[in-house]
Amino acid sequence: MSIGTPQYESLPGFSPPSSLGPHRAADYWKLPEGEPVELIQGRLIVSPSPNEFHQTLSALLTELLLGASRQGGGRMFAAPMDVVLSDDSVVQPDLIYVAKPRREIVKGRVNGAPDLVVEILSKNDARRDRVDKMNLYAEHGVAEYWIVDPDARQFDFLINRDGRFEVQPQHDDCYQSPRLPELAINLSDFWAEVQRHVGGEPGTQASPGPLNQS
Amino acid sequence: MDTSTFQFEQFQSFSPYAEIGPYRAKDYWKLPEGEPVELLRGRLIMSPSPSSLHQTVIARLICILQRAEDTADGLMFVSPMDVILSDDTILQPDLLYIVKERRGIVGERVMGAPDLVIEILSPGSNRRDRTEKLDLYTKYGVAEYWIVDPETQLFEFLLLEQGRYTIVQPADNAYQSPRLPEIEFNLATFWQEVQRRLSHS
Repeated sequence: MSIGTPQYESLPGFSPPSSLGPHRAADYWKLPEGEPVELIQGRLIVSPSPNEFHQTLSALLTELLLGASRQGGGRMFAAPMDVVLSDDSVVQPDLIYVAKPRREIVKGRVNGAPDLVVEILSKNDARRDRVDKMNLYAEHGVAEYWIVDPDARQFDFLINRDGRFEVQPQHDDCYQSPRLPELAINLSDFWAEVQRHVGGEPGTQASPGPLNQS
Repeated sequence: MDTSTFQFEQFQSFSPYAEIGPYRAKDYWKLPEGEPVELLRGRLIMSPSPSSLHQTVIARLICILQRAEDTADGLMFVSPMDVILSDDTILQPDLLYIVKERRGIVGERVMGAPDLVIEILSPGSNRRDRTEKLDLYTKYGVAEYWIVDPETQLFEFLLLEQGRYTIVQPADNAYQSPRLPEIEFNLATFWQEVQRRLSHS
């Protein structure tokens, strides 16, 4: 089922709808290249423009994942990169990592669920990443999902267990993926590095973070 | 130790502390009653003053939990209510619910893990509720944990399964706890009700 003119939606509910929207991959490919749009369970959703802080985080996470790919032989991409999860869902996650054994899913675009997806929350759209996209990634077999909250300087590390995400507890500074050892991060170092890039005295604030940045 | 020397933690670091802090339950009990303080792995933390949005959300959740009490004979409490998880950890969750069979853990205070804990995020408590507290609730076996963000109108439903929290996604705005079927509500209606109470018309 596809329709002629694209209808953009903002995700309506407080939880994922159980029915699919009207659009399919065929409609998505017809959109002008470079449009910041995603197809989520049949609905066309416009992505917000990322701000300076978001892009800083993206750059530093790119650096982290490049290190991981050198270590583990996988491939990483930062947005925009189309990830085709199914006929009704094509997304552009902020960052993705495909592990070495599955590199063949990368052919022009990424055809299938990456081993890791990282989404950086935008202030007004946390629900999209924490609810709708989380649901999508869980269902379509994204093995690991990191959610980064820029304002709270906080990561959620989630591992897919049979179609649902399990929260990994954080005991201290370091996280290492139980699935892929090359995916590891020292949280203190990371946020200190972010602070260095953004400017100001390191460690002078734990929160609320750069709410003044637009 | 006289309480005027107590140091309250600001949690400036970007990751959880690996080691336990210096305070214990006996220090906690010395604090003036009614202080909005929690003892989290040996550190004393002050709760932020809640906003009208925060309190409105709590009020609506009380309704849902009271319905559950009536249906299934459970017991609900709203903060401040001390939940003693260990000698170095005494928390005051925003709301908690205990099933009928486990009402024995409620004496003067709650001694042990409630069946459901609900924390409502305030700016600044975000990281603590999602990391330190999540870790503690996992460790002490709180079977169900809800994280509510009033700013983004977001509910996250976490169910403890084999020692870890799994995120449950309701569909079509309807949630019913898989473990506690007496607890159920409609998310869209919930936020509409919150909005209605806070709008000035």
